[in-house]
Amino acid sequence: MKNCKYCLYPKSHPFGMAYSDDVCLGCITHKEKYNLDWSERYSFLEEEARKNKKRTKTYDCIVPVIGDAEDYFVVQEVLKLGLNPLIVSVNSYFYNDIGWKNLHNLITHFDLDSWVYNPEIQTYKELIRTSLRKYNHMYLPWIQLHTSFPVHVAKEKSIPLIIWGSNQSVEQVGKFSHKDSVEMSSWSRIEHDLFNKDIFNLIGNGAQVNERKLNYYIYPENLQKLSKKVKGLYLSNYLAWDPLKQNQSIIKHGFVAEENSYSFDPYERAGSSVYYQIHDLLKFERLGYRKITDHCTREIRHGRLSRSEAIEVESQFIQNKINVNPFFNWLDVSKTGREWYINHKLKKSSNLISDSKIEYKHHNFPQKIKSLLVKSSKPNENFITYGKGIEI
Amino acid sequence: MRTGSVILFKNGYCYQSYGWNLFRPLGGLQNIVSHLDKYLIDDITIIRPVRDNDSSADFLSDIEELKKLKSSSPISFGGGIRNIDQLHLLSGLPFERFIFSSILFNENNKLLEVATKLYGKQAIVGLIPFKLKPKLSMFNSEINKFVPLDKLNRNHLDFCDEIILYDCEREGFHSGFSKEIIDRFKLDPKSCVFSGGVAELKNSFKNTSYAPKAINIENSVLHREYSILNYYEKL
Repeated sequence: MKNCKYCLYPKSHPFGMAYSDDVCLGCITHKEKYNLDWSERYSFLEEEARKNKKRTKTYDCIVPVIGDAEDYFVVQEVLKLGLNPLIVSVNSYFYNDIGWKNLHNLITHFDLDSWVYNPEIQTYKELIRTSLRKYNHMYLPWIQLHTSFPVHVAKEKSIPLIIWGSNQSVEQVGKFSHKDSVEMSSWSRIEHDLFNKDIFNLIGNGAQVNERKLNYYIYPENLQKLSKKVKGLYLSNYLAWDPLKQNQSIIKHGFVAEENSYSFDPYERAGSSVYYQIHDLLKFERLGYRKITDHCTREIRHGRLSRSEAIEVESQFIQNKINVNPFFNWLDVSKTGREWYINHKLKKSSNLISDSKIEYKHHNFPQKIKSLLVKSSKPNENFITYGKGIEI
Repeated sequence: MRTGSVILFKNGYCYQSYGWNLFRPLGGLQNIVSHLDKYLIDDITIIRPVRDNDSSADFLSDIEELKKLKSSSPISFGGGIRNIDQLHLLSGLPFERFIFSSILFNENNKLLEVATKLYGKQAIVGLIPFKLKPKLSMFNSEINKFVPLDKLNRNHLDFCDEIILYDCEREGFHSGFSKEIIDRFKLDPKSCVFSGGVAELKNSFKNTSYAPKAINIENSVLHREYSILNYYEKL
């Protein structure tokens, strides 16, 4: 089987690729967006909102956020539905000043209650070190928390609904039809969010971790036995999801886009010190492609890039080097430890590693993309453990 | 009524099928089975969706994967069991029942005889994939074709403890199982398991003359947390 004849995804996509007549299921499922009756689908969402409104004395739903552009869009839509959300966030400790500004602006601009969880940092770092050693992945510990802590909060505070933005397994590879209206589940979390690596895969083998500190890393059990069952919905099943367009539209709420040397997209994960840095490098090492391929594929499907234009845009970024030193310094890894890791675990991507600061370059994109981009900012400081994003 | 789930498993990976044509990737087998165990499903049916393109090497490699499977639910397994050598390979598997489909279209019943001797009649399950449109026909996977009803060797059904009627048109969709197959096929629903489209809750069989022995929910069982509880309540 060859790769898809339309998009740029390779067969190594971590969610699993399948094809029909040389077209990947991601492209086939994307076409549903042009045939579905979205007003009917939105009415399902309105019905869910109606059923869950004022079921508790406090909040109607939880919106898990990191503070990037998609979160602004989700919160905007949740408020349009007339729901009273509690914003829940897990500190990744990877925010730069733009990240903190966007997170705190989100909370204050929409004037919402929030709950930010700061995991105990030594355990968190130890889990990251183990995750790097075993799986060449630095985000697994945070993803464990991001996908389970909001569910714990829902359980503890009897909040019946959790609203997420996009379901990546549908949007990227078409594992389900939009019509399946797939919901959050423990199965999907392990399969798609954690790539079959739950927290117990990150302990043992030398990891110095006290299991008593892992409570929020573990998905809560017995959700079906609660008097108010917890349900998690993905907005992308009910709205014709178009990230670039949506993300541009939320700039009016004060979101700050970030200059990006690794993709044309200044919105997705803006404010992270690692997402387009060490995380992108590790993605290339594990899967053979970088985030720019996700973005180019997405824009081919939305008709804003032809396949050849996408290949050209991809080529502008794909060889851009990354300075991994700030991350290893943050992780308290010694110089020899870093050298060992680069020599043994980053063999495929060794040509993408640089010791010097990477300067932002201006690129040229087709007009359909350019028209959805906005002025972006440079971060002043990376790896801010606790930040103050706004002045009141 | 027993409520089970169907998993399609091939080359070490699980798939969802929509309308017998479109296969979507689903995920790793153990994670799926562990969650179905957790949801307290009554039983699990694992089918290799092989047609005329199966090979002994693929069969063997899937069997090796299946040997590692850990589950607390009763499991039925089938798909590509087409000769006696393969039948002997199944003895090492942690499964209760074995499913036969294309053999039901053969003249020769030797395979079913040997299977009954090895595993007992209670372990033999027949699988009949069908569609009603444009006319009633059954899928013979060995030749990868839908064939008329009279090509099915009905005598072979006597070997089967139960028969899975698999609605190929409704599979994966939300349109409901075509229960008129029971009238058209003249089968006792109490010996049948309905599969394909049964997840549509409007399609209730409870207290009707169509009530089957069991139902198998396909793709949608994993589409939401503990969805199986809704089926227990409503079907």
